[in-house]
Amino acid sequence: MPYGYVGRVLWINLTSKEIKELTFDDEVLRSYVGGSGLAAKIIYENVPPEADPLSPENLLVFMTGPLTGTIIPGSGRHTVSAKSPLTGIWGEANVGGYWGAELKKAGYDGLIFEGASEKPVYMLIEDSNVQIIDAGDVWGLDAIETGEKLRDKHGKVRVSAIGRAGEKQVKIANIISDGGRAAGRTGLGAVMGSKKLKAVAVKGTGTIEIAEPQKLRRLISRVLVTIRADPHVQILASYGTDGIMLPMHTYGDVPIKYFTVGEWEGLEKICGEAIVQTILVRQYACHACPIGCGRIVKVDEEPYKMEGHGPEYETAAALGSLLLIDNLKAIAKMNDLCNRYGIDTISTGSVIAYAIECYEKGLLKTGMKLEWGNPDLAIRLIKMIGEKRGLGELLSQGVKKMGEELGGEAEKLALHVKGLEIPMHDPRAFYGMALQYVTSHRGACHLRGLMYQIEQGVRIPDLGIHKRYHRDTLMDKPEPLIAMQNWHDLLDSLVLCKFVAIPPATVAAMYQLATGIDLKLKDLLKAGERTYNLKRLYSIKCSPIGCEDKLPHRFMEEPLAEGGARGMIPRELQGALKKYYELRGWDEKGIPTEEKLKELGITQS
Amino acid sequence: MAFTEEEVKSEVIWAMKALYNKGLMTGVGGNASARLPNSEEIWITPSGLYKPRLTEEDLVKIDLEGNVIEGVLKPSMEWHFHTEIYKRRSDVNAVVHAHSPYSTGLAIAGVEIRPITLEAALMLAKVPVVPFKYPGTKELAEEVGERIMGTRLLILQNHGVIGVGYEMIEAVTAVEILEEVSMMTFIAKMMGRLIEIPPEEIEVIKKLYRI
Repeated sequence: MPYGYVGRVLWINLTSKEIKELTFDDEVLRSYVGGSGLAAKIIYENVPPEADPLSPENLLVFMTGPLTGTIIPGSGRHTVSAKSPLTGIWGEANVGGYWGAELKKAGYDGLIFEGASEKPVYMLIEDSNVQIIDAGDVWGLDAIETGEKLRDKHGKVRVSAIGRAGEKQVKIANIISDGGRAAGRTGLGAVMGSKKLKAVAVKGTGTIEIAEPQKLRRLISRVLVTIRADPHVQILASYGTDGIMLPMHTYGDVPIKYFTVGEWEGLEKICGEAIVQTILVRQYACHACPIGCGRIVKVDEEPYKMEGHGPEYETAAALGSLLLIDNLKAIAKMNDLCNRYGIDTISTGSVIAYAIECYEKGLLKTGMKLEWGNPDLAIRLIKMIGEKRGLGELLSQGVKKMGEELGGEAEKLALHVKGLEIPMHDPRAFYGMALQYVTSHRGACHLRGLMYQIEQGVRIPDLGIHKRYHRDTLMDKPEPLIAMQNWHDLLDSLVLCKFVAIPPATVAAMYQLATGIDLKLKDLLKAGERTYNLKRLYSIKCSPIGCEDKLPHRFMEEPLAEGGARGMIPRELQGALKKYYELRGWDEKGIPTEEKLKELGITQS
Repeated sequence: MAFTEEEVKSEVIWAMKALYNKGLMTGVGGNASARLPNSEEIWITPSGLYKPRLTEEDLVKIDLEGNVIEGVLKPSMEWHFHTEIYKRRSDVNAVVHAHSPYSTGLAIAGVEIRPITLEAALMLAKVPVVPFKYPGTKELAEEVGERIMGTRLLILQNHGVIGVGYEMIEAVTAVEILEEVSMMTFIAKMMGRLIEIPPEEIEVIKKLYRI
């Protein structure tokens, strides 16, 4: 077993309660690395594409990478993967904090859950002591209370848990780690709920063996100075991820009123600077993180009284500007409620905004008065979604299913790609984001590509991104996008944070020093390409939607009338997509060709 | 970056020498502390000793409530604000306090840092000033805690400056940059003129750096 890995993955059958230990041979680790890349191989080979995502047939895979839990900056993340109940295709989410590092210290690279328990259970892992325990006393608690209760019972454990939404298999349910870090997207909390798995509590006392510890330390010492000097990192450190809100608004990137308005003064009240000035009580960092973008906030006054993890940019926009809500204290409360129920804030804000628009247009009939800018209404709806009650039952399915149920004109207004709600970057403001969204294997994904950075002038020579790209062109975007997608899929395999600005060649050097595996950057990027193709292939096998690479009508036909993206429409998307497919080695339908799969060593099952 | 307790201690000693040699504190003026990431115990300089001559053995290890864990000397009287910063900023692993003459002097004179250099326009545009509280008190620590979010620097009115960082180099560098720009400001003002970077250029810089 190479260094960096601990060399053990647990396969837990929740139906039979049998627990097996797996190891992966070196060749598999060289090809798929770890994290969601390795999870993709496991799911591709073991979950039939026709499987119901909420059936025992689906697997839920928690995975770390070879760098997780080391001293490498940004190595505090882990990934969760499964066939998604929200989209019906490949699903994955990536989460920070300490849980992943703790799992490695306990002696495991990952956990694979199969089957479904008859009664609610949770998993306790204390080094080699691994138990499946009756969860009668925590089932029904919210995700944060569950962590607190398990820490009361078992001491200083790190906990990943679902809230009531996951228990009820709400399709936008997530998994909450460390009291407020979310594996947010694609509804993986519902998969956990379908398995009656309430939580995984972990405590580890081991160490992670590194191939060249002294050399790695020296390299990191040199790199840290440049990371902290990076202007983007300085924004994140000073104002959290919500620090990008005002600068991004100058480009018309921040969605307002469900992507229909281009300017709004309310952003001043909900941006990162406003958080620092009003509700921030503490800043925190994930394991081995030199940035510390995490925020603990506190609101003393009812009805928004709360203390806990503060809103990130995506949340502040989804629960704020998207709904025309400029009350930061209310947004903090809404975020806290979402975390407690265990529902994805991006999807939650989107379903509420979509419902309001449909209601206003007479396409959704309900006894409730749905209106913009009403935080108390939003809070009520969050509770209804979390409990799958009343109108919340419709909203809990995501905008695609909502659109299908409402039918007609309403279906056209649902903003999603492949069933995943659009994140908080307007693809009309950065055309590269349009191509990124439609070609992402999990549906509209803001984290694989980060094209809005490239289109603001960021150059990454190690990836061949040398020149200045402009935000209003598309035909020149396939090359940098493919490079970025492969790179980001690799980061999700390693598993490293995408905000820690370490140049790719340096990451490759760190990988070599940590694992002792002699893979160069180009070999690692090939692994990124391999996993990107494998996930795409799996999505296509699951559903025809897997290669439905299209943007909703709004982004192609309805330009914004004001703001930084006024009049902009990514009209050349089809042309760029054709070029993208060619460069990817995919056919005209967007399906990876046999030749490409063979080149990547992927066998069709 | 310090990865071991020994390295943490050595960085605290280095910080004191560096700040002293730069003229940012007298031998009895400043203090410093550091910790391993996520640790709830810090190594801090002792009270009353001549700082440039400190050795690792002189340092004191305390928890975030000020209880002495290791060491025979008394921890710096300013341990209150050191621990308050660590409680509020888990991204911070190093804190330094100096009596930088130009930075402190400008604040005493009520002179703000203006955008005269790139650093001044970006990094120093919003350095909070902590109202005067008696050194070494909990009241001072509370005022510091209230203002330390989202910044790497604080000016203590009629007292000195605080720099924080993920590692010691960053904390010390922040204090150095503040002093450098303060000195430039002082010289320019003494010469009777202070030409600022034009506002439109600052907007370009801010956009470039997305600030």
